[in-house]
Amino acid sequence: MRRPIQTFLLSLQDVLLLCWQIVRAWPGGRGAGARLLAQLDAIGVRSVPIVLLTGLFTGMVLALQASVQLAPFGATLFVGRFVAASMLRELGPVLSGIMVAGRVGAGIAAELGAMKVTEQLDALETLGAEPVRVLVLPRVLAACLTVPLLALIADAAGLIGAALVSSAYLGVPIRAFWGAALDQIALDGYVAGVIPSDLVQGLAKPVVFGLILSVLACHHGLRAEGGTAGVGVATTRAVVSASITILIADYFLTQLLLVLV
Amino acid sequence: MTFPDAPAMSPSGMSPSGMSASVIVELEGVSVSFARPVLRDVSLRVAPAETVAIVGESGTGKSTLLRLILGLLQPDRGQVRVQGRAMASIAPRELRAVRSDIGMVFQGAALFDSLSTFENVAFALRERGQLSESEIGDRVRETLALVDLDAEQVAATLPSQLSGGMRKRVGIARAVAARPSLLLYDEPTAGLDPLTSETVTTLMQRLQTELRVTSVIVSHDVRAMLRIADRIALLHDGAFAFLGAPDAMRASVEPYTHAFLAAA
Repeated sequence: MRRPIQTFLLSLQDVLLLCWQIVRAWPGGRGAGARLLAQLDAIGVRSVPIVLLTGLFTGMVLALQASVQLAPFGATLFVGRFVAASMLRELGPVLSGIMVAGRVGAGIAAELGAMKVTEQLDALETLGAEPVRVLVLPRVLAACLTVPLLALIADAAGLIGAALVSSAYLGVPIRAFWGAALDQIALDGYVAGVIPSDLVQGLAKPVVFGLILSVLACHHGLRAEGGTAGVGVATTRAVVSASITILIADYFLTQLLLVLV
Repeated sequence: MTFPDAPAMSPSGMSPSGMSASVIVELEGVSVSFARPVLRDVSLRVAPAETVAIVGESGTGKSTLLRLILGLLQPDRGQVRVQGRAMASIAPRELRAVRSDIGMVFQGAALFDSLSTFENVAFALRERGQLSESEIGDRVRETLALVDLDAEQVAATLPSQLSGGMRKRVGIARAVAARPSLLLYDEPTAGLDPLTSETVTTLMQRLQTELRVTSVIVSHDVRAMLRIADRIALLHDGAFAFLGAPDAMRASVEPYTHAFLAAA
């Protein structure tokens, strides 16, 4: 029991140290803009299809499940409310975070891991570039910026999917679906009188999820050792640790945001 | 080009006077252990424009010596100084300044996969930001020509599209592009066929002559090193079994050195 705890604490120390190095690497020096743009494309733009599909089908399933629960009460018209609350507050952010952790986190860990075992990280250092500044900072920034936008896309896709299913199979008119969804958003209140609190929750969480998935992926990639097998291990660890940490963080963030927002 | 006090060198490689004014690299009583002791009380001094080859069996700590010189690894005991600065106690900014005067040729070339040949060679120049883009372009083309590569042909290619020998040459070009005063080679001919190996060895020899650069070469190819090095250090069991001029190595009666040369 002592060894796993010791390993966990050492890893935690490494992750915190990496976070401090990221802060110190800000704003990234020469070429930082170009590196960030490249990562915005790799992490954000290229994740759109997978997040779109995930959101769309999750919304469609939610509508079907909601109808089963609401039909006995003759409340099928409230499917829009059910889906809006679920997607915006929880499913959009969490599913986007986990899908991006799977697609991008694995990619980051594999890329950095391969660079580590082929001495490219050493080469970077000897050529006067710090790996955290050149490789980690742009990836972390891009993930923090794009995961919230991807969550929004998932939300929108989920609502559209649910609206289509409601209209096609449940006999809920499209206008009624959107009316119920907007009612739910209004019911949950607004921050500063303008921004729906559901949206604030739905955008705040993915920033943290982006940070978690990118930092953990970079951490595991930078510590890969033992050739190609080590890269595989680093990739698996990155995805598993990011997915679990996102789910745990979601609980505590929800508690916090329910108090704050 | 030989180290002035080489003939009077002690087995550790330290000059009798202990002076370090004309020394680029200095290892003093360096010990390193991982799971087992790798280097034990190793001392070595490398003079400007000198070429020192470090040879030995696999796993004897040859590459570890290079990592110590680069400051990528800290010794458990002893001191490593480059250009007179102790690598263990140096501030990160100063460490970058020291490294900027060192070129490193990695065993597997360690070219950046996502960058073209041109961008790989230009990397250090761009990081320093002292040259304009047109000057960088000229320097890259000049450096690629120095390693017998046609810039027009290879500039846009990715490392994965190059042969093993070409990758090594691009690795050498990247290391010398910023015209460092110290060049470190980690097994520059490993994994190459005999002809390509000979080409790379000749190239290293030419760079010594043309750039007058101080070189530390870690290699398993002792025959080639006997030809191009000013001094050879033979690592055995974590310490130098031999350190001296190639002729002295050929004439050595020390049993391990003799056996190593006979097997080469």
